[in-house]
Amino acid sequence: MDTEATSKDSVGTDFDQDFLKKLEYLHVVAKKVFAGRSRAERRSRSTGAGIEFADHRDYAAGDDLRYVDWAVYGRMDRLLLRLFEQEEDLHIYILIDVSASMRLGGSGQKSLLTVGQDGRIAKLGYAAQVAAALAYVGLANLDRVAVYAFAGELLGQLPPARGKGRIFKVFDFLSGLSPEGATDLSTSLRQFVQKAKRRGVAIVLSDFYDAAGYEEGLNLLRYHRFEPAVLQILDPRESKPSLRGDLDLVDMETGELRQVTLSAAQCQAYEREHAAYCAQLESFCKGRGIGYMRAETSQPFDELVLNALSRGGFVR
Amino acid sequence: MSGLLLLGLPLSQLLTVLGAGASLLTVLYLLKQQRRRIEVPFAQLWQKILSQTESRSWWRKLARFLSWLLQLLVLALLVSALGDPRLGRSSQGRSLVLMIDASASMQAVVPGQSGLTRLDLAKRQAKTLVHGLSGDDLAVVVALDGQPAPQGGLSFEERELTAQIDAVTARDTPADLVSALTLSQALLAGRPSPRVILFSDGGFDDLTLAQARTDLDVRFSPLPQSVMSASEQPGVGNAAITALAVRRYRKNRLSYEVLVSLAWFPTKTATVGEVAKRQPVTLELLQEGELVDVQQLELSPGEQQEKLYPNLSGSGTHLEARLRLPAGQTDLLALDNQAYAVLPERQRQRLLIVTAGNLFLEGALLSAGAGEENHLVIEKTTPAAYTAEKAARFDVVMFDGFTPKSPPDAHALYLDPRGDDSPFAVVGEVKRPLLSEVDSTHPVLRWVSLGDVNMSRSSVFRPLPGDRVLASMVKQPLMLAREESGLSGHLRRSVALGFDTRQSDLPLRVAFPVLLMNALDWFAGELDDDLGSYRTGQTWRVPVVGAQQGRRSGRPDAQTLQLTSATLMLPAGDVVPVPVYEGQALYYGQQAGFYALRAGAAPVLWAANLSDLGESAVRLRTELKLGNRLLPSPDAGQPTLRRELWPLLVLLALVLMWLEWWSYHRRWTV
Repeated sequence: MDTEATSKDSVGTDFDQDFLKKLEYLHVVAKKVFAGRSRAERRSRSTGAGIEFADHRDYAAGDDLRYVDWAVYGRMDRLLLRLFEQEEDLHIYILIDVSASMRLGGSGQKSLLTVGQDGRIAKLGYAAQVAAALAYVGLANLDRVAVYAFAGELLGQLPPARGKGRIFKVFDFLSGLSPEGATDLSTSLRQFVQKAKRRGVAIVLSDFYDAAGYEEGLNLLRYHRFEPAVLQILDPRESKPSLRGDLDLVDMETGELRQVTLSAAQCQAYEREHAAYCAQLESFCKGRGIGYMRAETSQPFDELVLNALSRGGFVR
Repeated sequence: MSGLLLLGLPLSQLLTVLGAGASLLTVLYLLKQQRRRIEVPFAQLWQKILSQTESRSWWRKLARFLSWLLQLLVLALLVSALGDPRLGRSSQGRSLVLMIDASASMQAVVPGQSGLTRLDLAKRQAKTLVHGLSGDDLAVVVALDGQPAPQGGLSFEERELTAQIDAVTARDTPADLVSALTLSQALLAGRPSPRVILFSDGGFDDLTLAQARTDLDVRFSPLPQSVMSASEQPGVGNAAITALAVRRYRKNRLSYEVLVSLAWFPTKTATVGEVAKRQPVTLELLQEGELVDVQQLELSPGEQQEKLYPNLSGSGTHLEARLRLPAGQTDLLALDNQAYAVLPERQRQRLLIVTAGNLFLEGALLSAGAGEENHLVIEKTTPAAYTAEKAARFDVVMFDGFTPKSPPDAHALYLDPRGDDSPFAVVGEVKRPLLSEVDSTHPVLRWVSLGDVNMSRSSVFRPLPGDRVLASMVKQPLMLAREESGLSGHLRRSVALGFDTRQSDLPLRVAFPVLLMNALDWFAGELDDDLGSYRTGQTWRVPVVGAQQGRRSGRPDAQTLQLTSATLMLPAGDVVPVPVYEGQALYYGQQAGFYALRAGAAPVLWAANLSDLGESAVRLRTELKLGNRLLPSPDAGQPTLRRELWPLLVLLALVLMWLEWWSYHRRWTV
């Protein structure tokens, strides 16, 4: 649970050829998973100039008279406008948490993206790998993929782009991330929804350790008609700590210090508390139709991505 | 009970150790407060857990403090244990002196017990008694030999008392029971229930037992009955050399005679009507380790028999007599089967008399051993014919009414020296003097009576530092003796008489030839006519040759040399320092054998023997009477708790340590 990595650590530039091969493999597999789908066939929830009827609404002055449903007017003597589902490119927004708590798991290796000698990888590194994989799959499907980094607020963004060739931009962006600051999902996602003009899938990669709570942020996505999906990334040792004795517990994000003397019973109590916290997040997501997945950094990222893509409800 | 005693480390050291240990513990305690810093991703989760235990934080702080106090308590208990605290004694405790006989007779072996001695059995009995002592009994072990001494301090502890018993070793001396009882009285003075328990074969002579009266409660623990029965077998007893004496003949100092006194002490005495059986023995005489005579003798039980060896001569100095029983018979005490004597070497003495003619002197010297076949070779010369070169060829020069210009490089006897050349400065003259002070302890005046010697006149000498005044009249020295270094570096002795023998009635007295013989013996370095040996169990005063020397030739300003210590080689080969007081080395002899004292101008050799009939009798008593009082047997003490507290303290410390460990691992005192 402890970490020696400093806040100046960055994800690094370890998206090498092997990694790229893994992504290509993921893409091929993903194609099989999504067999029969063609590009841009995904319908957005917005209405627009499509050909498939979606709904009616009251006519307002200035509306295009071509879309007035005269048949209804004739039957009901009411001016209603015909709305059509707008067919557009799918926008995939990947939001990656770069708060200080995402540094956990790194054990002194140069890059947070690489696996340390103890076989562990930082949560941020793991999140970056998953983000890169998802972005690649999206780019390869000719979806528009944008990546956002956030902690207390939005810290950086990679504008939406399409085509596999843009994956290197994604790599560059992810490589430049470094963990710092406290998590504020509400502020960050509020800024995101204001910036992202086009609706789409918003995949949030985070540990969701937000003292103010994650509910408001996720609800904001929903309210602004994004399709949120939650990927909670955890380090195995933070869910099952093995701390004993007299300790100074320091919060990685706030720096808050707490002098404690931990026993095995207290660690078990923490374990239960942590599990309840995760279960609460999962319950919240499922209750609101938000795709939810929990991943531990010990799980290979490609396996996780395949699971995420194959499981219904996570990415529709 | 009365208070606590500390028999281990003293209180000051305990406090020092406790202070240091407590400081160390406190430092470790404070170091333990230094916490490890751990970063956690979301402290809010921990907060929920810890808030439940927050209410117990005051208890935790207290528990840690209690843990520290507990550790200090454990330390205090352990440090206290180092002090070996004891509870005070109860009124039921006894104060005991365990008196173990370590005299020569306790070296007697027990027949059929493969070398086991009476002392071994007595020590075994003492250990058994110590093992059975009650916890309140305070005891000390006293070795009963010629110089009784406690083997340690009074102690409750069995281990300490056992060590004291083990420290008792047999001596070649008789036991001084009276002194031992006096010592016991002093040791037990003012202590509750004083008691003496005597472990002995009871081999004290009747006179000693009659004289040894004491108010103390003395108990006698005789040797086991099995020793009695084993010793009372036929053919078992002790053959002893009770004396070995050697003396030179007066007439001829080159010859000597040896007297050996023997005795046989059977353990089984003849009954009434039974004829006492004579015991055959073999007596050997050795000179320098070489056998010179063997005699087969028969000894009557309990009687002493003397054997004389006349007209012996030789250059050897070490004499030894050995006594053996026939094969198959058991000699209980090996110690008195040998006796030792030292015979210092004596060479012919060349004497030059410088005289105008003195028949008294020549007559006296004839009786002192002058003659061709004897040790004294005399040559006479006149003062006119005297030269220093001539004197240098002699061992002794006698100046009769003549004073040489310079003293000869030989021992010298001056009769009436006068003038400025006199080595003994003459400061006056007295008419018809009477010798009021005579130093009869000096070898020259031994057995010489000068009390009523008449003389018409005498010079008065001024003694130099180191000179010994032999005789004086009201502090006016008339006879002097001097020891100094000669020209050749050898010790040179001289004696001066301030009067002319022809103007005195001294030559008409027996004292005159005796004085001359003494002077010649003193010049020859022979200090004592009794050349036999010393007895063990006595303080010997051995004259040290040249222990006190006056001025040295050529160095008139030299100060007197005074020996204060010497080294003594014991029979076993050990070398010990001995004090020298007034020219005599002092040593309490506890061992039979040859001794060599290295001090002064020449080494002094002598021998020591047991020579004690009482010890050689190796008597065994089952009952003992002190005065008219029959000594009862020792009784067992009343059983009480041991007063040692350290095991309890250590146990308590272990319990507390376990408690601390247990509470720690249950996170109570973390």
